[in-house]
Amino acid sequence: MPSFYHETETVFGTHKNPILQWIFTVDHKRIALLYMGVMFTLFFLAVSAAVTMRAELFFPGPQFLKPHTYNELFTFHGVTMIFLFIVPGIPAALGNFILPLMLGARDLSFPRLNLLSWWFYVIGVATAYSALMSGHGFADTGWTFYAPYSLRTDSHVLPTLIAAFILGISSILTGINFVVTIHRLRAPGMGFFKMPLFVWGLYSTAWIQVLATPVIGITLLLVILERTLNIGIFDPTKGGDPILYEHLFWIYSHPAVYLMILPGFGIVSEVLTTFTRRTIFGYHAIAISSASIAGIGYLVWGHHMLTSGISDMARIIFSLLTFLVAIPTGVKIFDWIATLYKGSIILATPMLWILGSIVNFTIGGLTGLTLAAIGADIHLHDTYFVVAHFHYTILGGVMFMFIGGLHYWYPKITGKIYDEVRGRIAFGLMFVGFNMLWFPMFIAGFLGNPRRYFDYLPTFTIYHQIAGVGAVLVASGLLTILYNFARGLKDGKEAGPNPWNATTLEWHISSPPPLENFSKIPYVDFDPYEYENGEPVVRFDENFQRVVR
Amino acid sequence: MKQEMAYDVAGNSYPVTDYKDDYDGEKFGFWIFLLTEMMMFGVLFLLFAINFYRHSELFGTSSGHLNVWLGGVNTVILLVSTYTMGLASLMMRQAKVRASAYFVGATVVMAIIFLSIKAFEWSVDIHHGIYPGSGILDAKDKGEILFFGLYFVMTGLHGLHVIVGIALMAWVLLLIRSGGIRPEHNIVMKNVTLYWDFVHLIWIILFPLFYMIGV
Amino acid sequence: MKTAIGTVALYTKVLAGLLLLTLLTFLQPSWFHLTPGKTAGVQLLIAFMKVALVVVYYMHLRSEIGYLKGYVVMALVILMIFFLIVGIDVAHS
Repeated sequence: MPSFYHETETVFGTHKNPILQWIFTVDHKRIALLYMGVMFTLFFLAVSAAVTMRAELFFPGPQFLKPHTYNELFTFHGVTMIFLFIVPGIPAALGNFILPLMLGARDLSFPRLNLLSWWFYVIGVATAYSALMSGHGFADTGWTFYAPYSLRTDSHVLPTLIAAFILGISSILTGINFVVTIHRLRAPGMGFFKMPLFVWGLYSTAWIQVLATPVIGITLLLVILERTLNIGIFDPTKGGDPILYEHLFWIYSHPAVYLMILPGFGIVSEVLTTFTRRTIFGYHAIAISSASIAGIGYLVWGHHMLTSGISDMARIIFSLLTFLVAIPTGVKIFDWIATLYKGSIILATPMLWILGSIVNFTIGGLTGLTLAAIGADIHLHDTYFVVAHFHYTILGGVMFMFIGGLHYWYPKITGKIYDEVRGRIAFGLMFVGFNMLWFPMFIAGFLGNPRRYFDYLPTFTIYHQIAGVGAVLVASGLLTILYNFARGLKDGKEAGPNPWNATTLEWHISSPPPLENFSKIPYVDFDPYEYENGEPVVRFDENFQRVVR
Repeated sequence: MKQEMAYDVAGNSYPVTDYKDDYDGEKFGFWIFLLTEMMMFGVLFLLFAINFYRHSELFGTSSGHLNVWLGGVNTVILLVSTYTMGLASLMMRQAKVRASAYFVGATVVMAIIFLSIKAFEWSVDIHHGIYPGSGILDAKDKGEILFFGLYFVMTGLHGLHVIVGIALMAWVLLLIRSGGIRPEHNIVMKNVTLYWDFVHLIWIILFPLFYMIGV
Repeated sequence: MKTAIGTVALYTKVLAGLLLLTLLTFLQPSWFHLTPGKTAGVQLLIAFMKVALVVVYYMHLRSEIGYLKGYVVMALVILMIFFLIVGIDVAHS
């Protein structure tokens, strides 16, 4: 059966040239792969920057980097990982591919807008990296661009700011597309509470993209104007207020971390049900908790500023509100554990990644509560403790979920099956390596090792050396995954439509999917995860008519 | 095009929404876009509110330097232009294509007058040395620097939206001519009308904050 | 599905209302003199009436589907929360 790899539609009609067929395609599946291609190239660049920093930090004292180069490196790592990789992240790559399939739709609501978002993304990437070519070096502000330093530094901040603005547009357009798609293109009969939980994750995420991104957009625009025209709004010498910059920056950037994690939570729910062969525990609770995390996420930005001179009143409010986030998150984690209970657990590679992510994320989440307490935060702020907390949630959480999702949908995307043994080895390397890399940083941070410094006191050497070894393991784990996926393309077994015995709609069509996904749209009057004796309950015939047994 | 149907087990049929030509979907999408615009301008109003709270007397005196008459004329022009744009949309739905095009044309003319008056105001300010980063302005009090900083940013961004609006309306005129907008296929026109209403909304709030607080 | 929303007569009535409110905007400072802060308050009150007229009658939010109304309110509430919390911080520092 011809798949979307064989035929496509472009925004200008048909092309003979395969490259033009790809870069102007309006097919959501091809656009997803375009995103993945660029994103993972950048991801490996940013990993190399991180490994370079770890090498520099393997011994105390200067090794082979200048302090200023180190500042540029961590800015490069942060900007690439945050703005170019994990913010578009799961929605743009996996969400783009899977969302219409899960809804029983033939494409997103606005296919051409989807292509436009990818082009904005590519332009943003090019703009961000143009700073590298300019000869002035990359920005050295960190990915947060705090005023007034970002107004004063001689390094090339403007391209990075403009890039972040353009990427914001791309993100907003994807968000609009997803919200409208979820509202309009659900298959007949599929109410909101019959949607798979990954869709719920994407839906909550899309609202964050839509309502929070404009805030950072205009804020960065103001910094750009500040640097070019000297407006004075964030400049204290003209009466402006840098704290306001921090407020506005975190009004977006805190919801942005929920934007990263929520689709990840969605993947967890999908993979867990498939590999426990049972209906998820507390479907409604998980769905609602996604939405409420997105909602509460708008109220807690100030916990990034507990030490930056906001009023005591605001500190207390933010600390309290931050603790509230733990409630819906806890609901999710308990629901997942309850799903495992008495399930027929199959420890396939995607499942391993997901279980690993739950462990890591729990540690990351609970240390977040430590940081939300004002007193503790004054001690821990700007130490490695914060960096470890963040990487436990984003690398150990989101990235593990992302990789788990990639393994889970790899057969659907490529039509092939990867090698299971290599998959497990890669997980082992990453899980051990990740915990070696970041757990010592909790201790180093707790003992007072500040973040962002290119040097440290000799007492901290042991923690940095364990972390260095962990970094090597993580990098080799990532390379193993890459190799496994590449080999799978070449000589993997044919996957067939439903290799995992999963229940959601994407597994009812051939792998890889045909151009417009569904020849006929099914009627969905069933819940997303219905299992009976370990087998999916719902079956369709070739006309997507439900077969009653 | 025939309406596609999905069938349940009992054989009942249900209509399927297609992503192509989904009027309600496209309108909904544009509304969400307007919400993003609202958040963006909302942040600027937040900055205005805080600085106004901190320097309310100086904001009042600075506001007195602006020309209420020019701003007021612009307010009325923009108000009437949303009326004509709304009528254009209405005419299109009632299949009065020619009248619709004339109303869009009238809207474009008013938008251009608005921009010209705005440009004149700006040039007078700049002529007096009042623009961000100028020595004269920087020598003034902090409240005044902030007031004019915000004034230029916010009216500038609003002006940019007016320019985009003119471009969109020109596009609408071309589409009406080529048949891309027809009485039964008018989503682009509907959305441009929504956009123009939004641009007007921003001005409704912007105008009293900048022009009227110091009269 | 798309019922004809609004007539020329309705549009004109709303226009008259908007013009009247605009007139009020101009006359208010000469009727009673207030501090800049209070003037802004009164002026914004008038502005919000105008905004409501435009949103309801020109943008037809009144006849839009329910969830869209809900989302407009949601976005407004989130924006107001930003004002509230940043406002609390600024007022206390």
